[in-house]
Amino acid sequence: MKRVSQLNLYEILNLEPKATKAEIQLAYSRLWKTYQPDSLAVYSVISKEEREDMLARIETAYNTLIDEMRRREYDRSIGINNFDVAQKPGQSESLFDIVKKVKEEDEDVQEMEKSKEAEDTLDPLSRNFFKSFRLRKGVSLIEISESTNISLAMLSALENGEYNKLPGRAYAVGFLREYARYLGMDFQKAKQNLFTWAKWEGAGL
Amino acid sequence: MTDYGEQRFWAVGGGKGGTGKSVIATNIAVQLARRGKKVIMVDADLGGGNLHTYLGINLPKTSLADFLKNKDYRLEQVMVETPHENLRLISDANDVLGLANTSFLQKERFIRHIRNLSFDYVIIDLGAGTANTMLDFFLISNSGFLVSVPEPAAIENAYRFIRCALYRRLSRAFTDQPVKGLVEKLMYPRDGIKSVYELVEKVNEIEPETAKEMVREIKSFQPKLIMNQVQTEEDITLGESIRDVVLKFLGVRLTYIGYVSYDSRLKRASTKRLPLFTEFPNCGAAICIRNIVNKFLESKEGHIGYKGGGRLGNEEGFTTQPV
Repeated sequence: MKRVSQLNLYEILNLEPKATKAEIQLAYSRLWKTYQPDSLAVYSVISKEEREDMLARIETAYNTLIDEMRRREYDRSIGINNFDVAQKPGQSESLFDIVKKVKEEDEDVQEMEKSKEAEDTLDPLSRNFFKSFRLRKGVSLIEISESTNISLAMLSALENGEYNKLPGRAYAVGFLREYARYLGMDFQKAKQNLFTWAKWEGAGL
Repeated sequence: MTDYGEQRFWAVGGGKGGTGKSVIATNIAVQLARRGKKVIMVDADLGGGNLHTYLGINLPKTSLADFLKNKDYRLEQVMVETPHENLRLISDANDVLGLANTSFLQKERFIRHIRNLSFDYVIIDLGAGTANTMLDFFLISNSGFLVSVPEPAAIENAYRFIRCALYRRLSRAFTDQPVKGLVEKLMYPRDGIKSVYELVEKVNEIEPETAKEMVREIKSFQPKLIMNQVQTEEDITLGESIRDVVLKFLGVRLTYIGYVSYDSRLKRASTKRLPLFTEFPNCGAAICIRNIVNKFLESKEGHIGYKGGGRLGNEEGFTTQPV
């Protein structure tokens, strides 16, 4: 049992130390609403000072954990080893490997796309639809990752059909929504593509 | 820890009247009975009980009060059949004063007797408020469910209920001075002890071993929250928010077990004096209740034979073990 003042930044957001950026985002947005002045949940049970103090702690926790450098520094200070927080246990691909892989693949597909006719319409249910669509827009995965705060590993898994690396249906759909929004892609079609291929692969999405 | 053998004892409460406790308790019971489980519902609504109405039967001639007031009565004598296979009822509708003044020994006798009956599930529907009888039945149960709605007064009462139940649990468990005196101060946060954290710290200063025991006691109190009459996404996530506030500020591990959507068919079924599962088995609210039952039965705590939960202290007659 710990008082609020004794909780570490992960505990403030009710997260495990291995939490992904998407989980941090979700926890932050929920807790931020929880401790707003008009929230029904805090009505009658905590003081204004306690509520404001809690909000400040949530803000600090989010700002620290969402920033990779600050998070590593913080992890070190409390003795947590989170080299690559985007990875599930047992998956040893480092962030460096993922960036390298993504870049190489992008270059390959870009070459391939260039050779095609410009008016060639993409089939929204094709296996390579996500990546082809993105490359036609001339957008890199890193750019999407930085803008949406979804880890590169998750975006890469989504694009490459590595469904077993995604942390479940709700998150996969959430990632896809952000991804599609960034690229101006029809979300419903994108979702259909994701579920069709996940089902084909027998993945538990 | 109260040992019910294979039997599961669930209490449904929540502090505020009108949050749908009885309707939810009835529909959970009907849902379990339909799965072939032997279920008994107990109405403990302090003289305001009307479970018989929700179950579609006339006012029973006997009630729980008859059993509690008369030592010669057996539970079988106050139990009535319902229109639902596998489901029986012990009503409390006949008694004007209800269970308000039930002593601990009377409750203990009730538990002892019900334990000897061959029911898989005992579902006890508690009335509004934080009277000791309500709190005791809630604490004795293996699993205590709190029903609330997305309204300020209901949430306020749910917090009050949790606070009172925890206080009752601690005051039953720690009966020796000076710790007893400290626990009593928890109920008067203005000039006493402001939070459970402060209580544990103060106990730790004088009796470190007792403080550890107290932490175990607090951690083992794990009520379940059901949000009823939800209409928006915000109403659904409100349950998560309440869970967070309860954990961080009251020190209690509340589980948000699910929500029941607002459904006008619930009222229509109640008007006809029929449970939802009889009248509208596939409406939104029915699906929500089915989901809650499924989710809970899949959990470790929901299994028949689960030994955790229910505890009220060290009174004679209860099987007590360290939690």
